[in-house]
Amino acid sequence: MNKQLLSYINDPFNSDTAFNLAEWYYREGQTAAALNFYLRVSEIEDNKELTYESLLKAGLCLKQQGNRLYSTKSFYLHAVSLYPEKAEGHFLLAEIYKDNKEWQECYTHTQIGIACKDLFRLRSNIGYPGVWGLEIIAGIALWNMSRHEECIENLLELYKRKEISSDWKKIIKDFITYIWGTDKWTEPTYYNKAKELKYTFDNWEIIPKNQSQAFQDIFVLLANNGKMQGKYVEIGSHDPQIHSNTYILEKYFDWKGISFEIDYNMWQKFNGLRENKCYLQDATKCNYDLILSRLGWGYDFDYLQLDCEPPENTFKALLEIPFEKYRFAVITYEHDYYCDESKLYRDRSRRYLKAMGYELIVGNVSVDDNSPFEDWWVHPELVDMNRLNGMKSITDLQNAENYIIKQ
Amino acid sequence: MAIHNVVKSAIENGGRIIPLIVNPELTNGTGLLNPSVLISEGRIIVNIRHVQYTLYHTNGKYNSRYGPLAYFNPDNDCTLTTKNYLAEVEGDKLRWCNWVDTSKLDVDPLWEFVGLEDARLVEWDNKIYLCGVRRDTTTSGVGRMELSEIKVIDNTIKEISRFRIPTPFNKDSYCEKNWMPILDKPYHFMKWCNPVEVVKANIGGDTEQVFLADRTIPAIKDFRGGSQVIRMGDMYYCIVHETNLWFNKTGQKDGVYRHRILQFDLDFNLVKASDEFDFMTSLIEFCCGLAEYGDEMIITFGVADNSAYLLRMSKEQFFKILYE
Repeated sequence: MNKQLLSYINDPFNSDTAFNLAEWYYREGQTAAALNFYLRVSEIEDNKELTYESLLKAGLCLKQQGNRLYSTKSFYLHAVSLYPEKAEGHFLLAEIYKDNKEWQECYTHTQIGIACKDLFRLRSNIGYPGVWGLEIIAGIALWNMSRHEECIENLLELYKRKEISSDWKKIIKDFITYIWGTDKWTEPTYYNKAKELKYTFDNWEIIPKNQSQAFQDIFVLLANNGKMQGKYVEIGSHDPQIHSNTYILEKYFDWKGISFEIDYNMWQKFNGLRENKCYLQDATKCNYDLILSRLGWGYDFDYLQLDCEPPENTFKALLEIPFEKYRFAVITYEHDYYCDESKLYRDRSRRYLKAMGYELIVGNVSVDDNSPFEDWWVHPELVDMNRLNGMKSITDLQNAENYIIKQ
Repeated sequence: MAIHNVVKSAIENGGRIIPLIVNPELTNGTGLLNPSVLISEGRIIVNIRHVQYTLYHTNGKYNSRYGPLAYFNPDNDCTLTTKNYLAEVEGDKLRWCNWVDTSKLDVDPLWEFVGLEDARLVEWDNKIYLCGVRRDTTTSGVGRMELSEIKVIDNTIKEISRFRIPTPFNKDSYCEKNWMPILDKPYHFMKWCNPVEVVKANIGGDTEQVFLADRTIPAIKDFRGGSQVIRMGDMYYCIVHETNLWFNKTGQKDGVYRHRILQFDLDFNLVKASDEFDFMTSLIEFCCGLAEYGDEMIITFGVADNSAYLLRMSKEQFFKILYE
């Protein structure tokens, strides 16, 4: 016979036996029956801590059944009223509000939960992962409360933490992929590490944090020795700030530049946020000669970014650049070798740029250990090769963080 | 005097309790309740009612927003929808369990109580029936007992015929439910039990009253139908329920259900009623099944509309409750 049921029948007014029977039903997926016996614990009232836990579990029973928002919430509220200084109830309420897109309530409960104390341990798993679970939900709420920068900064910082479980990391990853509209990021950028550079350059101290996905902005400044008032051409700019290779060039190093973007929303966002201009253009069909000549900025630029989708289009855009007329001190070329099924365009671009007089400094840059997606080139006549020769890394894969940051 | 926790005393005297559960992938974990039991060809067959809600009932301070007694439906579904699962009990487990497919005879429900509720299992004329109340055929929720013949076809359990039983006299009565089928008298039901009224359903025709007792036993509350009526020796037995429903000081509904064993002579005169009892000390319990099985009695009951159980107890224990 079922042990938990027998114990309960022998002593039905004991909160332990009721709780154990509820737990058995819960494990069996019999959430209605489980709820019944969790409620029984709360009726017995001889163990306040177990009552708190049982009310949370009763709410979880309804949550599992789905589509019972108000009933679920009422159990959590009962629990929170019993122990307002315990975090688990606030976590579950924050989850409820998140699911219901009530962002201010959601955020409020995350903040109360973060301020709570760990008064006692629960007997069972109610799905509360720890304070970082509240922080992740808070990050998501922040985005929806239009506090975008805080959201990104917090979530990217959380994503790096070792204690965070893989399923919660996936939540962060999925959310950031959703708001950025791309799944190209596999690791976050490395904020606040600009002061830990392996190779320094002039003016490096003024960078509060890098913005690029894989330190491209740092490499551009490194190759140009921290040049102020440089010039860039950015093909495929996408977001003007998040993962932008040119944001800190403009904001902190006073560079002027011109960007090209095919996505209407990103183009609008760019011109709303940045001083330098972005053109809404198909990068594979631009008359770059005409545009650059009208700028009147001369023939030597300090940086060219090439980043379109898919790799074939990046290569097409490359072929449109009038290299016979214009030179670029640094080029970051995104070949997306790791996901290019044809495996053609990395080698084609390399042959082409070499023929145009450029020298590969870092090959197969990756944000992790298995996604080589970019090459970094320089024009030997426009940079100090004496500095850069010792920085060459031409391998099958170069982890960006390992290249830029002191390990 | 009320008897509490009869399951405990049954187990202490050699009985067994088996939780009846259905795969939650089929039920979403919501309420399993009010099972019935039938011994057919030596096998223990049970019917388990499943509802898509979870009943909330508490006597403590953690009331729901609707009070101490509330139905937690999905937020977008105000119906109380019942499905039935048929299963065979072997040892402490269900040997098989299948949904009763009623799709062939179902029509779009006209009221919020959907499906055949609190169905008792009977075997008459070598046919297995579920007989319970259905309230979804009119826009006002008129309830009538229905006989639903079921059959195993290609490893599925299908309803193959359905008969809505007319009332014998008051044709406009609102809700007829909890008629107790008399297992050894085909199509006979004990409609009331104090005084006893026995009716016979004529399939395809009217229902006739076959017995109305001229005496009652003193009782404060109505005895309301529960299990089937079964014959053992020269007596009939059943388990009935009685309710105490009230509204608390804030006008919210609350209630308690208790049970009794009743004994009748072969003419259906009520001979003996046990004291009221509960099965597992819960305030809401409901019994739909009673069977004789060798030296044992099998009783099936639900707790708080959320869980279902099969209790095996010695006959001695059964009679002890009746006579204690």
